[in-house]
Amino acid sequence: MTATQDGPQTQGTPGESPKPARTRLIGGPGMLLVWFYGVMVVGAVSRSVYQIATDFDRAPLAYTLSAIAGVVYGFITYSLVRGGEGARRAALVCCAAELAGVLIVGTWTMVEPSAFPDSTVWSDYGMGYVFIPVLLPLTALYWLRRSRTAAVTP
Amino acid sequence: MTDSRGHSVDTLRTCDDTADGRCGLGCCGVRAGASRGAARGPAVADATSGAAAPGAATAGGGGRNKVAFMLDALTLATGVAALLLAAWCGWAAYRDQPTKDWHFIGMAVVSVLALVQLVVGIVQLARGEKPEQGTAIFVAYLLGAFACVPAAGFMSLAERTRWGSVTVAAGGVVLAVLEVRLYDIWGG
Repeated sequence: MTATQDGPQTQGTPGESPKPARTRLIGGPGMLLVWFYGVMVVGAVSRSVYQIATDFDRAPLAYTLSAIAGVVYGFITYSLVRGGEGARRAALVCCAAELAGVLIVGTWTMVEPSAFPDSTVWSDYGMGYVFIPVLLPLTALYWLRRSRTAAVTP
Repeated sequence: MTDSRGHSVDTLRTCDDTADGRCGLGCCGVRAGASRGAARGPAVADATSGAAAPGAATAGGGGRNKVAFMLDALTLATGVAALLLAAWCGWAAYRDQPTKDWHFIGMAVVSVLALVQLVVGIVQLARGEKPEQGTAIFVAYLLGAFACVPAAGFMSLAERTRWGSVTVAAGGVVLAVLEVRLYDIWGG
């Protein structure tokens, strides 16, 4: 992506030996994070593709929001896997956007259900997905901030 | 983190320690394979009654009951096996261990169950049965269920720490959720 970052390839070492060729973001707990983001990508993208392809007119807003969520999830997953400082920042921004999206859409669906004839991934703060959509960005923000401090202090 | 020496020692110890967990998985696989012959235990009996009732209620066709039962039994077996796998790998993570050979055998068992389910599901569709919530969703979930555990397994190969085990455990939970959804989609 935009990164224009340093080093050659990711070092295959887990978190504790920070030889920052490129900050590795998927060591340790990061791998679990990638897994959940991957699941959410598949869930959100396939769901929105199906819904938009079959009956988009029924709930255009909801389906579009699901598609946006899927794209955001996809980008975060890619950033995590890629690693590096630029990707870390990009993922940080996207996670913040994701959290904002969950909160806004979640509140929106509570306040004005009539705007959503069908639910989105982010409806009711992600209740249909066991609240993973709201827990995931919080965890990811924590993880991404932590891996910066880990990289800075060798 | 583990060199080859440590790995082999650990594997041995894991074999001994996890005898129950492994047996649970193994039994489950066997049971699923032999479920036509009413293998054993109350779980299978429950599945029979649970699956036969809606089958009889929804469809008049004689073939539907048996075949629908098979799919429901597979869904149940895969879901239970996925949860056992999750518990097993969760335990490994709790003990700060990466996934070992036996875990991968467990993943293979669960994946084979999911594959059989995929095949049986497609055969069902080919026979003209209609899932309650639509064919496309049904197939998508079948494929997702099949891909779920292997994907987590490969990720645990890349992450040779306890977090790899946690990932596989999460994969098992996700698969179990998918099985519940599959049950609904098929119209149980």
